[in-house]
Amino acid sequence: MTISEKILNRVNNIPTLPTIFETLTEALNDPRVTNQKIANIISSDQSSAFKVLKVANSPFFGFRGGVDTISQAIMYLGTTEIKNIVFSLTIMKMFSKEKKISGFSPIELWAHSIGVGILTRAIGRVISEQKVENYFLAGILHDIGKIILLQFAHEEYQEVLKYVEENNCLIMKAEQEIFGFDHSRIGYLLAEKWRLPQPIKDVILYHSSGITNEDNQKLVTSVHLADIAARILKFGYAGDPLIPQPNPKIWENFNLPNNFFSSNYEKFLEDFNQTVNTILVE
Amino acid sequence: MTKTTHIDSLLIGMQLGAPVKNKFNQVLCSGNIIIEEKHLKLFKTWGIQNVEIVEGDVNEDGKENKSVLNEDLKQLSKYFNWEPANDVELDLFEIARRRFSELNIWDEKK
Repeated sequence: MTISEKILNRVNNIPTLPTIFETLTEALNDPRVTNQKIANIISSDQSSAFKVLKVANSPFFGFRGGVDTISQAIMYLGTTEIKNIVFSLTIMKMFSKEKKISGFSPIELWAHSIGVGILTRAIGRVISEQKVENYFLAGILHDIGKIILLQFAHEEYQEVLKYVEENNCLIMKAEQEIFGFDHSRIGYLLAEKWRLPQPIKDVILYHSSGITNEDNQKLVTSVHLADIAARILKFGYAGDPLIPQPNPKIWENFNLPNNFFSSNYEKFLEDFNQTVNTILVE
Repeated sequence: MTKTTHIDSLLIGMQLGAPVKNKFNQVLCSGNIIIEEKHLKLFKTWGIQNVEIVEGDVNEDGKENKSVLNEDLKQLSKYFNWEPANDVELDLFEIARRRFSELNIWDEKK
């Protein structure tokens, strides 16, 4: 069995999503469901409920300390945003944060992903995207394939990091050299297995190129740019120190205010520091 | 179309969808302006909680000259193997210059 086959085999054995998320998704598909029922489902897992409240109260979501109950959080942020927060927290809890290799740890990668989530959401808001609730989640999950590889191909991934160091290249190129595929492919397989929504699957598969043929171009491009900006701002660590150039093709259909990143620099740092502390610090 | 937005969630570059008034009904800002740092300070000073933000149109912000120094560009080339091709990419270089200086990581790879 080749390395690739072994890794793909292990991905097939990744557990399904925890019950709380399945129950929540099912409830939200019911048009008659009440906010109180949603609140009860979230509150059934006390640690999740506590974190959801912490996140809802962070300045990133715009409610400094004003949200006291899960019902209030649902009322202020809406069910989609709350579901996405629960989902992000659930996934982070599923995977070990301990398996550090060659100076690269899951916790740094999660910090990078949170940074990408924050910047993606900010880009979504400034381009006046209507469904901005999915932007944070898309950023959080864009590198889920790397998390899988760190966890389930721990030893083989050391080779990838060695290749990055020796060749001063992007981690994606090293993955392709060593495995014959990269983290976006693995992430996509997991997204299929978990039946994640198509926009999230597109982000996982296409965030590096920033281009998709699907309907989710704005979202994919937003994550693509946010990933680059998060690397620049040193929000966590993505596995290699290089800063890739945005794909020139994205500018054909995508506009940002020229000074968007520098104008909001302080806010991005503040949002990142507070959100990372809220989500990742136990 | 506009959306009510808390001032903690405002970003520079967003467009106001309606005039902002203080408690005495005096207009602090007319509608349609692009939010700048000074407006955020003004809203905080007057205790404004929420404002209306335009949704559906992309803001074409005014151009701002960037002052990325040549020496800094040379340092940045260790991390960037490309040159900025438009104003947004130049802005990315600007935040890199600022962040790398703050963290003092010019000569460090990670």
